[in-house]
Amino acid sequence: MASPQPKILVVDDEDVIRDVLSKYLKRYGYFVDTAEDGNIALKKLKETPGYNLIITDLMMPGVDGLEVLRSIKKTNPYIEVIVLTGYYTIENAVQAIRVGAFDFICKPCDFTQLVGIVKQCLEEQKLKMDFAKLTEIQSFFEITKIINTTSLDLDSFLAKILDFAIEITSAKKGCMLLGDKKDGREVPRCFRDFDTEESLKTDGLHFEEIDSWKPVLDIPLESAGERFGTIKVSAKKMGEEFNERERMLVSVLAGQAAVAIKKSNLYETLKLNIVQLNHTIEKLNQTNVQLIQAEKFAALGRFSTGIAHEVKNPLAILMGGIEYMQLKLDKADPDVAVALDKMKSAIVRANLILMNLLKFARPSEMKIEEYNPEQIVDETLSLLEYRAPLNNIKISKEFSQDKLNVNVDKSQIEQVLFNLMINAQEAMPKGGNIIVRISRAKAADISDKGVCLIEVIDQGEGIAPQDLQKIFEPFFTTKREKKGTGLGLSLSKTIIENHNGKMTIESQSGQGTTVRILLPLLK
Amino acid sequence: MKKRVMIIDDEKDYCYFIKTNLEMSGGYSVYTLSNSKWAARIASTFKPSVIILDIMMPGVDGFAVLKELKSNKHTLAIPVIMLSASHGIDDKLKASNLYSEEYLIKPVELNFLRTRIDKILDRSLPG
Repeated sequence: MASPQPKILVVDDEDVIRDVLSKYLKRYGYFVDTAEDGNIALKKLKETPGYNLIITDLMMPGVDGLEVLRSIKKTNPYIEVIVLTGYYTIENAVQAIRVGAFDFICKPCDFTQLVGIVKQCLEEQKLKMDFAKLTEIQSFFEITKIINTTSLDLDSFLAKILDFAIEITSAKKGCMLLGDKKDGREVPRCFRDFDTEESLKTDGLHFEEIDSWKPVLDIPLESAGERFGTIKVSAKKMGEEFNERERMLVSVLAGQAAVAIKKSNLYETLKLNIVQLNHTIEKLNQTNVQLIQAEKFAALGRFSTGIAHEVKNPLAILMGGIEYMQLKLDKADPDVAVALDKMKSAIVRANLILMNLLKFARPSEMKIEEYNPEQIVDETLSLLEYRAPLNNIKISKEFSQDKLNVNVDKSQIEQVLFNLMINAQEAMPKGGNIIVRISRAKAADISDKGVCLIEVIDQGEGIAPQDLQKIFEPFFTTKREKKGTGLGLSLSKTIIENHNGKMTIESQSGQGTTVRILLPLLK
Repeated sequence: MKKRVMIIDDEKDYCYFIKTNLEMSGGYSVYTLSNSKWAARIASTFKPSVIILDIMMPGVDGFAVLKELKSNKHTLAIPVIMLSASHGIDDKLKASNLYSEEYLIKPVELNFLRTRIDKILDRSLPG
């Protein structure tokens, strides 16, 4: 593609100079425009973009050549300026070169020499422009590279884009506003003010303040028709308006920012999905463990039913045999009588184990009715007094003021509470306090209507961590020497789960144990 | 007059101890039967005051015997105590539906068994 015709503006208050210079330069293929003073020149520069070079006189009425030069360098540093003057002084020349003039030439001048300087000036300008474009392209490339990295730090990326937008527009400050996730209202996300050196702080930054920025370049962050926010840059170094090229460049940046935000949002959603997925997997694993546990209990139940008949008959014969001997002895020998009593107790205990085992297999035998849990606790405690008097044990009842009702098989829940109270008592051989607390609690996984929380808290020996993991396993017992069967807690848990509830244990060695029963409330 | 008890259970040893223990404790005359096949027919001849009947037996099970007892006018009024190793609710319901008077689960202590027999007989004896 051929390069566009370079545009030159000749500024001089002398008609002759303007005409001659204009005609001469046109001969070399340049597009030449003229202005008779500094004011007109600045006006034309503002209204008609695309000038490559300004050749200006120094001494002109109104705005002089140096002022024109200063103004141009502030608004568009890429426009080159050659000063052509009849008032040649070293001071003027030094000043003009300092402000940014490409060259300083005396009138009258050799036009051939002037054309040579113009040619050289335009070539250098093209190189500068190409270099600037290359730098921009490189920066865009860097931004694209960041977008394509897997772990995008959105805040630092937006700050980078904002800095770049401020730099390429010669602005002093800028702000990136993003749509709020809740109400969609755009709020400042990152901010930079090179005047105050304030950076990236959005706390205390009022939208109204940003809204009042003038002049402002205000570009929406959009990708595929979706708007994510706005990028705003303001306070051009020389106070002038932003031009089309700057708008175009910032629009490209805004597009890149929008893509990055979209990507970041997708990444966040993905992260959230992964968290949810992990949560689901964890829950599934838990369910799996529970299913395995439930299957273990069911298998135990089936097994128990099978063996019960086979074991119970010999037990019955043993019982008959012992009773036979008791009748035959007729208390003649007290030692044998004691031995027979012990044998009979052993049979009763073996039978009790079988009965407990069978309960695993019989969840359908529940007789469900509406009860106040306080009543069940009270009745269990009186039963406990009757069947296993508590030595040196004080029981405190802490019942909720709430009237709570649950649908349960009363005898089964009594059995659970009884087991727990016996356990608590046995954990405190020297005596102590047991608290039985009833309250309303929340447990979304059990019931929307809330749950009745029954806590049995002792101050006993506690449970060792390695035992705590196995505490609900059938036949696991820490009380082998006290003739524990290892079925009490596992059966209790099964009973509570058959009531759609939950049972948990919290304990530490030497610091007591808290057993929690959660049962769905009726209302 | 001694109370006539008939025990139908395939466990011969169990039958032996129950019979001996009841008889030793006094007031009972016990007849045992370990084959359930002719149990109902024998009962109609023997005419016991009460029948103690096992459920899980080879061949004819306790429910079949119970059904036969309760469908024969000669044995209809004889109270039947089911004495089984099974304590399933289904078995208890079935026994109750077939008009058994009592359901006990093995092993059962002699004193308890005697109490139940006496109570049932007190209830069923006229006057």
